[in-house]
Amino acid sequence: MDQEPYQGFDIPSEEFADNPDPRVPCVLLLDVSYSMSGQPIAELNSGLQQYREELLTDNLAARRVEVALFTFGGEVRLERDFVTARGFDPPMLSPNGHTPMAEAIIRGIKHLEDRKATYQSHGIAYYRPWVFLITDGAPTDQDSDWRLACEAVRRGEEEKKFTFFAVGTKDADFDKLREVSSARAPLGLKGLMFRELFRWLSNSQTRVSQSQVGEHIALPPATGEGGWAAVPA
Amino acid sequence: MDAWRIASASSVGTSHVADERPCQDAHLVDLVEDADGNQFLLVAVADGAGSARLSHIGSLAACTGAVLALKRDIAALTTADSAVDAIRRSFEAACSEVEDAAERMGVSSREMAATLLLAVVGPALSVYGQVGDGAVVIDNGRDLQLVHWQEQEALNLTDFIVVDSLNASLKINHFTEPVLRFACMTDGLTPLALDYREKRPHEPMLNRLFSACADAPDPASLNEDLRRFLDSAQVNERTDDDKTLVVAVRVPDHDT
Repeated sequence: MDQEPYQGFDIPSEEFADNPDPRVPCVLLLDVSYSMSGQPIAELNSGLQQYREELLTDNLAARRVEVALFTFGGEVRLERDFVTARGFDPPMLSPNGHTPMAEAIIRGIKHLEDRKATYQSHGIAYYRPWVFLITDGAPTDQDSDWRLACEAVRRGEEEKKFTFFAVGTKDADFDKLREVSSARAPLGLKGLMFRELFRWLSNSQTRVSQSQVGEHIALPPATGEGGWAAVPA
Repeated sequence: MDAWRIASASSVGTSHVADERPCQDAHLVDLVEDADGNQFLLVAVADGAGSARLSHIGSLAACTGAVLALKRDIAALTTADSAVDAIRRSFEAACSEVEDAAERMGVSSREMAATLLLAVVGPALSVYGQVGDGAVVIDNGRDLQLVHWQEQEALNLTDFIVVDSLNASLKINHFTEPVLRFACMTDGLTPLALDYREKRPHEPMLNRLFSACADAPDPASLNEDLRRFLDSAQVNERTDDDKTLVVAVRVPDHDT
């Protein structure tokens, strides 16, 4: 009888463990308060579309980056729960009311922790998550709530639970942003370059989704010529 | 007496090729005998930090420092307590080797950050040390066992060998029964070879690896065959990281 030929290490991929892709979770906290009316909100909406399209151009990023979107304007709303780019249907945001930024930060962080617990119970590995805040103003929360938000960010950064980025447009209150983003200086958005910002965000997360062990990955430059960001005065 | 048949290879990940980074994994395998003729399989596997510029040098220095230290300490490898101490000393030696290499090149040892997995498999006793991610799987004749499941806060956060933090980061395990089959890998391969949900070895994959090693008609080409597998499309579709694998199986002596 013929013996089966020696297959060596040609192991069929059906015999590999079927672990799901690791995830790169990202919480977007977007200011849609009344002051965003007009062109700013239009550019922000267009930036979100751009973000989805850019994520979809990279196979790994499309499978691995998961976005949840909170808005704060009048109230804090979870507009989109965690989903990968394919399922991410950017909402058409409209401006509304005051700026409950602290509440958005606290809810966003809590939502992220819940998501990580879900990953863990399903054996899904994940990269260090991102919390990305974009605002054009100043928080209208009570001082005590603002301090809670600052503390939640500080502790999360210290325990490496997430990386927090704060971006303000020209009229944002950068003193407040420096308070909340103490580990990483806030960045100013040049003009209304939301599309460039979201292209950068997608490129950065694509790099993360391909990255290996190691705390720091080099992110593409955000400042400088052609970049969307300026270091605020 | 059975003898070890060993296949080992490190292979660059596709994302490293894309970024023009070298393979930052390294490994070292040795077989030594003590004065009483007991044979020990020594294995070191290291993964250089993706973010550290010279971590391909750090990972090799770590493996070299650790294995040399174990060979100096060979008399300590027969009892559990002394072997655990020897593992600890070999991690310290790995750290100094990395620091020395960094000093010679005039850079900070952070530029050479690496994880390290170390295994000493003797006739009856086996001892394992681990800092950072990656995995060791052993077969004691009953089932496959994952030596240590490395909990981590996030994928891009792991421990690297640093002498001051070894107390917290170094996990040592030992087993007092013979090991028949052994595999050690960096995190580039754990998505294929471990079941993350059950935190267990994924047996179909590992059993195939062990059989491939045991049944090879030409043991001389094992490393090359393994390397080809690590470079193959079906592996690269699942992982874009560097990958290192050491597989060892006991076979009857005349078969090596």
